[in-house]
Amino acid sequence: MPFEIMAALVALLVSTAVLGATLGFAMLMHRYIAINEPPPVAATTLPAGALVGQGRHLYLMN
Amino acid sequence: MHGGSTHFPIALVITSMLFDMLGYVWPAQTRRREFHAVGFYLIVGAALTSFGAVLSGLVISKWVIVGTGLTAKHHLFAWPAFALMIALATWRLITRREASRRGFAIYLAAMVLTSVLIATAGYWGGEMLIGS
Repeated sequence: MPFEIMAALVALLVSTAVLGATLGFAMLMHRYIAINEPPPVAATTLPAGALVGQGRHLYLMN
Repeated sequence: MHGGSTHFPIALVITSMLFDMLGYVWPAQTRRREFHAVGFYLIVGAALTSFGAVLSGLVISKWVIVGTGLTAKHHLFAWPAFALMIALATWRLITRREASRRGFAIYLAAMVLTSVLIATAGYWGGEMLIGS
C-alpha cells in the first residue's frame, strides 16, 4: 500500500477519534448541565412542597 | 471568547490553502518549497487553534452539538470542517515532503472543501450574532 494512502488512513483514524471524543464529551456535559440546572425563576414562587417539572426532571420546592 | 478564537482556524486554513496552491503551481523549485513550508505550519496552527474555537463554542451553546435554527446550520458546517482540519494536518505531519504531486492535488481539493465549510460555518455564526 502506498505511503500516502497509509498516511490518509491514519489521518482519518485520528480525526474520527478526536471528533468522537469531542462530541462524546459535549454530550456528557450537556447531560450534566440538564441534571444540575436549577428550576425556572417563575417556579420559585410556587408553594413549598410543590413538584416542578424541568425536562425529564422534577424538583421538589422547599 | 468564541467570537475571537474562532477567527484563528478560519484565517489559518484559508491562508494555508492559498500558500499551498502557490507552491503547487509556482515554477521555481526553491520558492515552491518555501510556499509549502508556510502552508504546512499554517494548517498545523489551524488544527491546534480549532480546539479552542470548538471548546469555547460548545460552552456558549451549553454543550449542544447540533441544536436548532441558525445554531444547527452553524454546527452542520463547523463539525465537518473541524474533522477535516484534524485529518489534513495529521496527513501533512506524516507525509511532510514525501507526498507525490497527485497525492498533493487530492490534499488541495480537500483543503478547498475545508475552507468552504469553515467559511460557511463562520457566516452562519456571524448571522447568529449580528443577523437580522
